[in-house]
Amino acid sequence: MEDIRLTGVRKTYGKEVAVENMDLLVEPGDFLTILGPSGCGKTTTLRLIAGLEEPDRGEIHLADRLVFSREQGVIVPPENRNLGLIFQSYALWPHMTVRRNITLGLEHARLPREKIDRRLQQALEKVQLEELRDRYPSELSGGQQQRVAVARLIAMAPTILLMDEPLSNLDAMLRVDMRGELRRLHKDLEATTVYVTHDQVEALTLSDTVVVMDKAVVQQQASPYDIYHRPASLFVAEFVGNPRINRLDGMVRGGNGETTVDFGDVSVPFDANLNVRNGSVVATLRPEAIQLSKTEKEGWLKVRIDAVQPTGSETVIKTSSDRLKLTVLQPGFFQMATDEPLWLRFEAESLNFFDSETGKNLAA
Amino acid sequence: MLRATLAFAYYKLRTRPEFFISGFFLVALSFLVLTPLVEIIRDALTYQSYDLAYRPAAEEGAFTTFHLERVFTGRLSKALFVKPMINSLMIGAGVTVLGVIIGSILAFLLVRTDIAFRPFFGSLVVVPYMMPSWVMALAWLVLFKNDRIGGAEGMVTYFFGIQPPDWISYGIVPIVICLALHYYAFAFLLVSGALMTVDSELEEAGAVAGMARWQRMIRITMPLLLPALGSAVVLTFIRSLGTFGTPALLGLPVRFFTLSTQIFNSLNARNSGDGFVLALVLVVMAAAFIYANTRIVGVRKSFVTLTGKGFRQRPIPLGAWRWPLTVLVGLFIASTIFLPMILLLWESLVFTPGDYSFNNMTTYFWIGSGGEIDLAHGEAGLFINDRFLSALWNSVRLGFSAAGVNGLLGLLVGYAIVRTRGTAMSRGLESIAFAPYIFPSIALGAIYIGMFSTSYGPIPALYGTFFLLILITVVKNLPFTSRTGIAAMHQIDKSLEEAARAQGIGWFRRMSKIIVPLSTSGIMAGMLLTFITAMRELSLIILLVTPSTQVLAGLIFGFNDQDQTQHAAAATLVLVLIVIAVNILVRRVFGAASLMGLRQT
Ligand SMILES: Nc1ncnc2c1ncn2[C@@H]1O[C@H](COP(=O)(O)OP(=O)(O)OP(=O)(O)O)[C@@H](O)[C@H]1O
Ligand SMILES: [Mg+2]
Repeated sequence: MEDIRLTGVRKTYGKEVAVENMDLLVEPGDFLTILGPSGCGKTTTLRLIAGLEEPDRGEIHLADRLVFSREQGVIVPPENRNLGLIFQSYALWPHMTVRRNITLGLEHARLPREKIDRRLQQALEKVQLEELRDRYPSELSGGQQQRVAVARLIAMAPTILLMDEPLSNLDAMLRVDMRGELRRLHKDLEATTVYVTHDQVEALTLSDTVVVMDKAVVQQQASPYDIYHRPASLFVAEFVGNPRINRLDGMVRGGNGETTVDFGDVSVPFDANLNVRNGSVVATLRPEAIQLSKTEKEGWLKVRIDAVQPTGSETVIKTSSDRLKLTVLQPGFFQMATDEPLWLRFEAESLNFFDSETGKNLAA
Repeated sequence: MLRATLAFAYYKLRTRPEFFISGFFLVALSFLVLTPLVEIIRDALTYQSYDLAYRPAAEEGAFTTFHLERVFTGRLSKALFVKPMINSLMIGAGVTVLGVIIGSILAFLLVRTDIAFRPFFGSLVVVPYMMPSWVMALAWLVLFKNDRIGGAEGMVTYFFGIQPPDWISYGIVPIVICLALHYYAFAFLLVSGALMTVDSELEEAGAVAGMARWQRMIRITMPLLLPALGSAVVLTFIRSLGTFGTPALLGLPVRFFTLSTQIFNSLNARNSGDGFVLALVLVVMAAAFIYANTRIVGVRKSFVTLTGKGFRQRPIPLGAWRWPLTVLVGLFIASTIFLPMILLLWESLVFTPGDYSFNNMTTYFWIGSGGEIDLAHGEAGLFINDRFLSALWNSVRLGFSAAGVNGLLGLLVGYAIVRTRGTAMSRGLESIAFAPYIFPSIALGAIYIGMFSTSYGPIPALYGTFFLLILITVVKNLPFTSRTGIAAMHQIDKSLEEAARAQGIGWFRRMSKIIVPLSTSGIMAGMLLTFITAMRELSLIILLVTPSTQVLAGLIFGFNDQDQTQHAAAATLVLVLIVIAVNILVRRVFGAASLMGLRQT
């Protein structure tokens, strides 16, 4: 059984399709991240799960309960879905103190006074805001507001947590701290979590499962490792990873028992069983999968250096040969003159091959 | 499938009430705004029972162009339509030109220059607008009344022994002056609002680009002010077309008619058909004017809204002109606020009319017991006068009820419009709520008489009831309240409500705990505006009041008609004081933003 199940869900706004034919399964206790570029339908997906929007068609189950089906006339409002929701803007009620922000939902649920007080106390302790309980949201810093929003969730103890870019309003340092706190919140509440972001680092570090979306369509749902190493499509390969993945256009050549892909300056062996159209494929290669030598070596590819960009712990080196442009990522702080030659090599296994027209991973 | 559809409808009803609020108000407001219009068009085009006096052979309810002919082409056309129309247009044009010039100059001086006492002047300069528009006319009569009609003469005659000529005492000149001294507030509020949002930096950018000061004024500031000026022109023109009090006080005694007073006359003379036709003329003129404005200025820009964002403003130094201009503005404010008040107070204390000497002063008209037939028809002093007290009570009641209903409407309509944004329903509701704007007050009153004098559909005959006064006041103020409501709702991020939904909090509680508290100040501003309008309104309800539902403004008009000038003056003072007191109170409690509603037209 899954905690969240979307089957064939579609949502349009007028002519614009925001979510197309989506199937999504989230296991209980899973931390799932929806990753994608701006406007791809991440927020819409989250709002569909929350019940703040209604799909045009499809079904939604939460914890094995059908909460939406137009065909069957079933629709459970957000009020009754027992969800926790964190917005990008935090959505704290500005006219209420921190305490009231946290207790309003509890009071509405008609919990006894002592229980409300206890939950309030616990939630405030968790986020270390006990002293600020009588402040108004406008008297808090961004990070503190964020923590109030978290405390409001903790107090309600929902079984499903939905977060829409909760960290995007924070500065870089705070973001890293809060990332850890959100992960802990997920663990403490043992809640199934759907987390929306367009920040791939957040997605890869936080989640058990990543869903990559583009243009209203799910491109891939997999573990962070697989998303990174076995992208289902060229889009996923290029969207995830920094610096951007190397893209090589090649032609498949058969002959005397061995099939190879020819990239112009180099060629690598190729699995003849893969179904290739017109003989052309696109390969991708992670910048860190490329080895580099300052001295000439037999069989290595000689390249020129176009640019060297040290970031501190790593250095990005942009190179080019006659036919290829390759970005290389090396650990450490490198300084190199751009007129020096370099020699590169990579393992054929590091490559992923994609259909040159559909962008689908040929191995998938 | 049907079951599924029903389930969805039930769901929406239970959890998305905005759709039902939208739908409900769309229907209800269409009924209150559009059907009256249809009704008077029908009445204007069919024989009415009272027409049978002229056309014994006619059949009641049959189609006829009788009224149209009478008004537009017949023997009476010149008196009924042509002359009043010309007078109305001249007044509209005169008031608009004068009012917009005065308002714009004041706005410029008080917003952009270093004139002295800016905050003080700024808070006083809109006070004339809070008063009834005809206060100035009453004060004018105290000063300039001549012997043309009966009764005592004014102060000018008393102190200087000269008779002011007719064109000073009555007619178009005093009407235009009095109205302009009231309606300049529109131009002032709109232009000062626009000036406040013109970033000095924009002008400085122009300075850097090498433009001279006057070039910057013309090339940068003026275009930004144009929409505000356009709105001011439209608003001033429509209001002065539809106003009744001032042209009645200063025009009727010399048989100087405008469309509004002619409508009043026709309906009073039981020639309702003529009145309805004239009311339609007013509506069409107003609509055409609004249309022209939106075409010229552009739909988007034609209604200025204030962001309230204060830009850095660098006051323009007036140099040697600073003090002369300060004195001038001070005198202007004194003569538009304090002078009328003093004149009215003085008038209310005069025992023998026309004698303004100190020995002739009395408090009789405030606290006298009355009963002397030859003195003010035996009318008792205000404070023990039943007619006055009941009218006062009615006015206050009307003000509060209309403000309450409008506040609630503003909240719900604003909520429904904003939450259903993007749907046809939302657009429809917004247009309907704005529609009363095109009905000049007197015309709306005429329309409501036509519709509610007999029972209509499920609604019983409302003529003569207090409810009808509330209803028409609410409808007339709808454009303003719905605008303040929409503005207030836009301040509240949707996610604030959604966060509450996710927490399991139902609609009523979301409204009471989140939406209402967060929109209070905006809604209160709308309510204050309705209260002020309702308290001083004459044009709108003059046709609808009856002795038992008489309100202060109507009573004052009656006093004046009966030549009880002292009573009229005293009652006017009371009315003005109440309006100003409530305004100050609300501003104290809810902050200075309370006049926001005015600026958002
Ligand atoms: N209420 C709405 N009305 C109309 N169109 C909408 C609405 N909400 C979203 N859309 C459209 O649907 C598409 C998906 O929007 P969505 O907000 O889900 O994107 P997103 O992936 O969350 O983007 P971002 O990263 O910028 O937040 C967009 O093209 C957007 O313009
Ligand atoms: Mg989003």
